Amino acid sequence: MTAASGELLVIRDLVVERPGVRLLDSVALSIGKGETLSLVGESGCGKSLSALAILGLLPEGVRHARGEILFEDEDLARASPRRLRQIRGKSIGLVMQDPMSSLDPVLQIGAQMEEAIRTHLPLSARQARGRALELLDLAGVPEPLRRYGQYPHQLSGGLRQRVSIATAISCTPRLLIADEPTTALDVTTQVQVLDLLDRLRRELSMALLLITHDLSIVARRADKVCVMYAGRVVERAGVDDFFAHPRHPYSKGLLHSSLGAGTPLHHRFDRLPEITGSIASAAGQSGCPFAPRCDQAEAACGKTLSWPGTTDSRDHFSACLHPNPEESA
Amino acid sequence: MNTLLEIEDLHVAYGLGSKRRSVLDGVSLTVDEGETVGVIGESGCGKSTLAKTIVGLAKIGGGSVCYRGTDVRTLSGPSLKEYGRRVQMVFQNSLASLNPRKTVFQTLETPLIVHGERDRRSRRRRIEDIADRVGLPNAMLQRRPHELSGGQRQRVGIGRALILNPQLVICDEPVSALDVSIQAQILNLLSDLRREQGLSYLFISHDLGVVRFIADRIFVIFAGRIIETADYQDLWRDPRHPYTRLLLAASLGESTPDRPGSPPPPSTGCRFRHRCPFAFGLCAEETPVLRDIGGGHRTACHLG
Repeated sequence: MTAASGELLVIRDLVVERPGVRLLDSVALSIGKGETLSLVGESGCGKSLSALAILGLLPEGVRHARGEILFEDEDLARASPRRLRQIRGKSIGLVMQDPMSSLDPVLQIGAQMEEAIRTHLPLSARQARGRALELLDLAGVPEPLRRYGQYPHQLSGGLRQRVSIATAISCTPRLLIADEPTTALDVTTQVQVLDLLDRLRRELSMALLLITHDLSIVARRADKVCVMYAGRVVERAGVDDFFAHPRHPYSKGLLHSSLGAGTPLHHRFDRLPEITGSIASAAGQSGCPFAPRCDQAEAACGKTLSWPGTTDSRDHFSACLHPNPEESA
Repeated sequence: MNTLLEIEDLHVAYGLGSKRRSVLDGVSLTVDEGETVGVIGESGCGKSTLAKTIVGLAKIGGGSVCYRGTDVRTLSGPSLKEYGRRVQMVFQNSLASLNPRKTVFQTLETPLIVHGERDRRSRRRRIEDIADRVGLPNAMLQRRPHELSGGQRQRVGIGRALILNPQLVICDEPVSALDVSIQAQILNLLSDLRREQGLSYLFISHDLGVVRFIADRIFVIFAGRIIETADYQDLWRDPRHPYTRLLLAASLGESTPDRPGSPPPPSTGCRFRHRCPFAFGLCAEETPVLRDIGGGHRTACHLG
């Protein structure tokens, strides 16, 4: 993977650790301008941590050990805290899962939006207010003027998420990171929020890093997919290719056990396909982290020190010892 | 087949005076022996209140809840305790519903003590047996909830519900807090237990995609009223109510014409009309009632 023109964000060989525990191991991915990349995996696999690493927001005691995070050819892993503060909220926006905890409960909607806007843009209070109202409207919040003076608890979950999206796009970022933006919402609201993100991405020509555990969202919204397991990227592909020919056993397991509405109904009286076991810590493990749960695992999978992967002709990466050709469809 | 649970015209309201809000507005449903009934709806529609009312955690405002023909409000003392043994509940948030200071063993032991199992060895045997059935290794029994994964905690919650050999288990969003691969494990576990023990479930979820895998019949609730009910296949293939169609489209990830921040559901007429693309004059004037459209498929829509 090279930082070819058109790539907005390129992560290479990223390693993040806590003393004694490797949390992210050799993570590599890239997002092109205006593209949607979906980062998929189960809780604890390192999706959110990857997002925090990009923003330089690693929790206390967790450090960046190795690797580059190139955003517009600037290495964020080596950027100063001051520089990172300039980038966060301006060039890279963040939408979090739970808008109730990411919005300040004691500030009116308008006040917290203005704060974000005026941190980065040289606007007067009056101009910032105008901008905030404009953004609320853009994010599909009905009656922006009324909502402006309200507090987060007075809004429904869907509206709150629209407000945090409006805030995140206030400086027209080139990359928007959305970490499980719809997980806390009702199904009907989920679709609306995803539609909104999609529309804003097109209108503002932003790239979108969409973190989710829901494969049905990926299928409809993403250009590229990156599947993570136990802190590593196990599969990376274009979205159509991924769904047509998943290569890694873990991805296949996820696709099969997903209860998305697209799954045929005749499964009902059978047992649902499941991935047995649970995510074990990848700490100190030399081989493939998925080997203990994998039904194709061989002795070699647990031993291999270096952790190989293959990229096929369609630039479809799979970190599995088994080359696993087309038969998987 | 024998009817286990019969809910008739149930009304529940929270709050007092002018703040009083109706949560369930004339809900009727039945659960037969060995049957799994699914209930779906959005947050705030009253589905969790329905669960709480059945197990006695919320007060019945009107109508009745009957278990094997007996109105649960007439139960007291030993008969109420017996009802508590027969009807158990599995909660959504396993971390919040388990006592953080108790080990798994203690959590599973409590119901046995409450229900008079005096013999310590017999309690241990039953605990080990249930742990085995819900797929918890014996080594887990001495752990506390924070030392378990989400899937394991939910297994403890299921074990606690099943240890007294109940007949009806109310599952309130039992898998929605879990990862995809773990959801399938837990749903398989629930199906296995149903087959082995002839259990009935009332399975509550916001996710039609999950409910249709486990339920025989499905009820759709909107704003405290049942707006459609059918066999799981009919509901999936031929949803009639505009709201059910909206839910279905949404769970398929399709874009829907639904409006954000719509006004709250009106209390008279069809409660869905502000969000309904097909609403017309009659919808505001007359409350649609559930009508049979054949084969037990019922829908509450003037256009149904």
